[in-house]
Amino acid sequence: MIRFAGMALFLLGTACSTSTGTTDSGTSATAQLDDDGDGLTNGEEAALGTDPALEDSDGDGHSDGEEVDGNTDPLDDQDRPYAGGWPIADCRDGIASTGNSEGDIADDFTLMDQFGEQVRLHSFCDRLVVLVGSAFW
Amino acid sequence: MEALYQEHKDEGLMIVTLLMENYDKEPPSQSELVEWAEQYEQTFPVLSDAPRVADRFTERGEVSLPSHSVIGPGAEVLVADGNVTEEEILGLLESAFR
Repeated sequence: MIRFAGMALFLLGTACSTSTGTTDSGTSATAQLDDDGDGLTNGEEAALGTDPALEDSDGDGHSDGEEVDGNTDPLDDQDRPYAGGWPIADCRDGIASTGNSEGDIADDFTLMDQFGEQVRLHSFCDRLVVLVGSAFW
Repeated sequence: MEALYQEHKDEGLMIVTLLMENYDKEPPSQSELVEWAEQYEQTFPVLSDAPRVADRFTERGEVSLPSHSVIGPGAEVLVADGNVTEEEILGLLESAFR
């Protein structure tokens, strides 16, 4: 009798587990989809706060997936990959500047490039950057 | 510089031109930046240095053009103001990423 009751509890537990598992896997399956085809799953978009039904949530001309891959903010239309295609490092906002002498951590600056966009020095914080000062003569 | 950039950009090299003045000694416009980039075939950033940020890297307060500053990973200033050769740049690149 005790053995039968134990089996019943086991089956009940299995049934509950199966029921819950179906629901979870259904939710999980939806989260794994990429409804808008932007390269991010619906679950990733939920975590980021982007629109899972909109390829380009901030309307800046770059898909959400492209922005995440390029270390720009898919919810900020002023923050987007450079038109020149130069990579943007994810360390750019974590730099604590100390000055511009040798051994210092350089101050950031933002200047207009040949595409009319604003380029930040700290965007290239994972690279060796050679700044060449010049002028028209 | 473009040849150096093309050859080593995948190793972590970036080159940035800071154009401080046009022929009228004014900050270059975007069309002048395009003109410069096309004339010298530069595909890396060519920036209009209106606030003269290049001057910040010299103790004299005003750079002698052309000038070079080298900024390492983490934005560390490796060379503040000087004229570095290609060999020196490649040495710094190797030291930065080895």
